[in-house]
Amino acid sequence: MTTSLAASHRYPPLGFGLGLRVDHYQDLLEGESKVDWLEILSENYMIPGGRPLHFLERFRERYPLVMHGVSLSIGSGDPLNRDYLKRLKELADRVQPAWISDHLCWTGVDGKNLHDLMPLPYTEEAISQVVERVREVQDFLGRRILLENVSSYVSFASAQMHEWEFLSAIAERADCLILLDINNIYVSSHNHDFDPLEYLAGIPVDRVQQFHLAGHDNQGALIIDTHDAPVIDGVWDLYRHAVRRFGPVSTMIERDDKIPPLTELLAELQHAREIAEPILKAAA
Amino acid sequence: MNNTLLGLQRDFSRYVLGGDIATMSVQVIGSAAANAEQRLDVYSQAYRLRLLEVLGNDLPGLRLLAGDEKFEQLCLAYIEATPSAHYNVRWYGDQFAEFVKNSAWSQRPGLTEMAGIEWCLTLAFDTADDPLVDAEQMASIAGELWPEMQFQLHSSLQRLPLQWNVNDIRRAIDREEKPPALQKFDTPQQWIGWRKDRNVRHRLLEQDEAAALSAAANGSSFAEICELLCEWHDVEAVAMRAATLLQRWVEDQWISRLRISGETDSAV
Repeated sequence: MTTSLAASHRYPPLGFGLGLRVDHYQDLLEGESKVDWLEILSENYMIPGGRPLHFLERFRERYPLVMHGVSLSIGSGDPLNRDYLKRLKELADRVQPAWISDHLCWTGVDGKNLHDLMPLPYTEEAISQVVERVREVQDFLGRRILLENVSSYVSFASAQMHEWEFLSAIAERADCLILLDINNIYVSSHNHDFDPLEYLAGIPVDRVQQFHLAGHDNQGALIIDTHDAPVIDGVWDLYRHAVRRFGPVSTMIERDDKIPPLTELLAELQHAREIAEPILKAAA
Repeated sequence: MNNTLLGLQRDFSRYVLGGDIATMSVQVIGSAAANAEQRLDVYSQAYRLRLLEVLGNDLPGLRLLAGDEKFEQLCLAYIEATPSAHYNVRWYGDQFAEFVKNSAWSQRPGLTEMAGIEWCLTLAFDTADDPLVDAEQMASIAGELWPEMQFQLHSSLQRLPLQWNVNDIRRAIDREEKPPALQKFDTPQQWIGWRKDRNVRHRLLEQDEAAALSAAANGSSFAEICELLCEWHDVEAVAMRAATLLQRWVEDQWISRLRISGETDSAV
């Protein structure tokens, strides 16, 4: 049952943001606000106390926040982790985020965590299972969640459809939203030899709430999604197409490793603005 | 639950955790660019690299003592023996010190103790923000109530016995200074790690202080702690020593609550 959720699919857009990382705490708290909003990694703050929660409070006073998790394991064959959900809700009560997201993947089974965003087989069976679990999570949290497409390196022999059909079917049937990682589409299109524009065209416009932009490591045969490098031109081009199709979607740079000075990420974010704003202006 | 999806995940998980690739590779489609085994290998490698990185971040002192190559061997042995039981990778190292203690690695001087204090430091980092007793609150306790006073310690406090100067080595690493050589103490020491003003700190306790703190943690009253301190101090000096210790504990944010015996919870 998701009848308690608001009729309108999407939350109001927030503009251009960044993933909050410890290296940038001081820079982001000093002087003028440098970004429109910040995305926090939920698990980093699902702790009893200490420095992270102290800073979280300061950021909450200063910026709109959204919560992004890596451990929901929405596609796992294990039962939903009730302790995780309880703590996630407690954090949401504290943060009052604009929205909460996680990944369309599984992260472990039989109680053993792989700490990776493991790919799902694109099957009707997997859709049914994920849809049921998304509904349960949304009922528990009392809000729509966003599911993000992950980069992948394997395709399963059991697959019955394309990734974008799988993602779209889950979003429609579970009545949830989509976080499109543009880099991950690029990475997977290379690894699985599909057209990324076909991917974008297959995603329902009114379900897309947020974009991630990131870098990767092109090893030739496979592209490894590292999120540790600047966004490449091919991903910027894909972003341009995505803005044309999906309109004013909240966009952020997501750097997870080899964290550069804040100015470098702000420059990338400015580049995103410069791509999006003329398109959005023309459309208006 | 339909078993097809669950079965695939179990096969995949077993493979990543160190099992045979054949069961998985028949379920994956390869291509000219990369065959099934190469594709699956990305996940297997990523699993180990990720956990190595987490352990490396938690255990810089152990890495220094063991050396890079041996440290990686030790971590990989732990990774093979210890699937992650918690959804948050922050908890992955919680059995590491015990693993070292129960392995041949424990024969190498200082390794078990370094693993122990480094895990304690990660624990002190994010325990609950318990209330803190400050000097003003201490001063407000009437003198005649002091003997009955009991203490609730802050949950960030972590104590371990040490025979080696692993604390000095870890401190030097944190300060980016040249670490001292590993040395055995003349007599065993008590070490404490804790959080003050959101920063993790650690130091050695003097013998009388360690005994007093242990007693406080076990519910002894101020009077009982004074009695205990008679083992190290003259009777006339004991009260002053106890008060000095208590003052320092308050300044270091070790005391989260005071109780007066006989009352259920007259916390200050």
